[in-house]
Amino acid sequence: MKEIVKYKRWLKNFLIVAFLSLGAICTVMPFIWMMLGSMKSLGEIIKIPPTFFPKNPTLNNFRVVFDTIAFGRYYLNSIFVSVVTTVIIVFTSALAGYVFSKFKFFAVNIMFILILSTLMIPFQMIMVPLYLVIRDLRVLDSYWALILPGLVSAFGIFLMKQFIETIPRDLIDAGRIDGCSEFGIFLKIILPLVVPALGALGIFTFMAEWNSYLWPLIVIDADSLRTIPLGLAALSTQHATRHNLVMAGASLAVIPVIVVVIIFQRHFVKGITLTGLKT
Amino acid sequence: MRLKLFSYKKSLKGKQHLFVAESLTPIMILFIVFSFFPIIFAIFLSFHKYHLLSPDKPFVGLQQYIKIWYNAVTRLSIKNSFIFASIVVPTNILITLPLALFINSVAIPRLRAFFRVSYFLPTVISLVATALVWSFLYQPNLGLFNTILKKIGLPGQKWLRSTQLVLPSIGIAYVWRDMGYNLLIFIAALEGLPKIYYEAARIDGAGWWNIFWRITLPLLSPVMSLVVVLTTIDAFQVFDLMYLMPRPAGGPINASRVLVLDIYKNAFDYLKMGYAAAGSVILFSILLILTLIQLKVLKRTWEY
Repeated sequence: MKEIVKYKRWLKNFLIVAFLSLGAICTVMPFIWMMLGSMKSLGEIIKIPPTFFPKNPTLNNFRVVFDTIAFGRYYLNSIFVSVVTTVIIVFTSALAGYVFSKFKFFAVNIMFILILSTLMIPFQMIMVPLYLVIRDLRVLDSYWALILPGLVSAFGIFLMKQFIETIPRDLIDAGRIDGCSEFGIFLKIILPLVVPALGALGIFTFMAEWNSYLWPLIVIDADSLRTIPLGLAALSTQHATRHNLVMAGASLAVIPVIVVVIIFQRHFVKGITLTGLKT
Repeated sequence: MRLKLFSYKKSLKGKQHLFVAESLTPIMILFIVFSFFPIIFAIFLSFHKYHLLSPDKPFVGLQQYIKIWYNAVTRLSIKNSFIFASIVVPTNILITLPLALFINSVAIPRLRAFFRVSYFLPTVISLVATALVWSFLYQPNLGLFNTILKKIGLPGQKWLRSTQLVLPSIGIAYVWRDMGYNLLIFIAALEGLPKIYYEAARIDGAGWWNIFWRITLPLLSPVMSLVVVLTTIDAFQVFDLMYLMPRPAGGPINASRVLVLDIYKNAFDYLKMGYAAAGSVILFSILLILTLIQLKVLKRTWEY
């Protein structure tokens, strides 16, 4: 009897793992198809019926993508814009979050409610007026256009306020008694205590910027200012039939992100469950 | 007087006020210019005829909204947005909730972490890359899906080039890329459920179906309503896949034209910014109303 129960339990676990493995293979399959496609020659990729594994694997497509399309430049643009935006958003969110959680004057509370109410606004509602604002500031088609609207984040402020709220007031008062300046208290006492939350916010801000497409599509025209998603989309329209090139471009955009996620997977999981953040 | 001001600046309260003013001023300026003003301006625009290139932009009252009501294409795009959301949201939950239960029941921690990250991987890549890879998968002659279908003796499908299949096809690609979040949220919620209910149920001899239906689901209800609301809001805002997967965007014959695509095209292809702004106000209203309804309904059915 005991044997049977044990056997049944083992079978159940085995079936679950088998099912999950099958599902995981299906989930990863598009990535595999993409990478295999990026290593096929043009002659092979337009063959009907298609092959699964490339007959003569080649890295030539990657060279073409870097040589004829300025993929290196897109990379630099994406890194520059994402890093600048992330650093500033993390800083402004922490600072505003600190003020909103520890300095509850009437005017400050009103401002917080105003900021919070913008969370419900879909980006598509403000993209048209935002485009007009950027145009009137005369910074269309420049790095400014990509960076300026993303220097503050209502969600980031809300998140940091929630975290800083849990820091006891005594700590801040102790800093004041010891003669620390208000800004010094923020830098030396508050910031070190919210590093995990800052990390989560930083990771997800970076991912959101890195993957953002709609806003750059609206404000960027010059090829030299394109970010990776813009460059990738342009590549796919210019070379619509050269699937191997498109897959090589997609691989270049996707693989670094995947490597980073696999290395930092625990932080990702923690970040999402900690904050409910979405890119 | 001077002494008073000086001492105020030096006093604790004065220092704090100064700090608050100094730190909030730049942040509030950014919010005013890039958030508050655009929101108000969007509503303002929606009451005007605002063609980007024409010099006069007259006030037209509710005319843009009336035009939307009578414009078959925009109305269709609103309908398509609802169809897309009603495909994507249930599919997402029907996949992620069982998946979370299964992953949670895997006994070996390393294996559990492995499954968690493999199902989460698509979620970190850009929607643009998703669009390109899945367009290739759906390719009628060269794509993986039709190759498999033909191999097992089924007829190949037209996927993105079929008026019936285009929205479900985009929906599948979207669920693939988007399921990671809900999966992680469900897993975390399941890990946090109190164990005593399960022990009691097991002692009473309850089967897994009863345990799921009468214990897990009710306990998950707050998380469930959050997930449903957020997934719905996101589903209405999918732009990248809609813009890049069917060629031309919105096709075939407007079968995949959703509201956000309609707003984009009116604003930046036809430069009719007033009309687009009215569309965006409607998008906001839809999301607001849907959120309120969902919160109300989900709360009622799941309250224990």
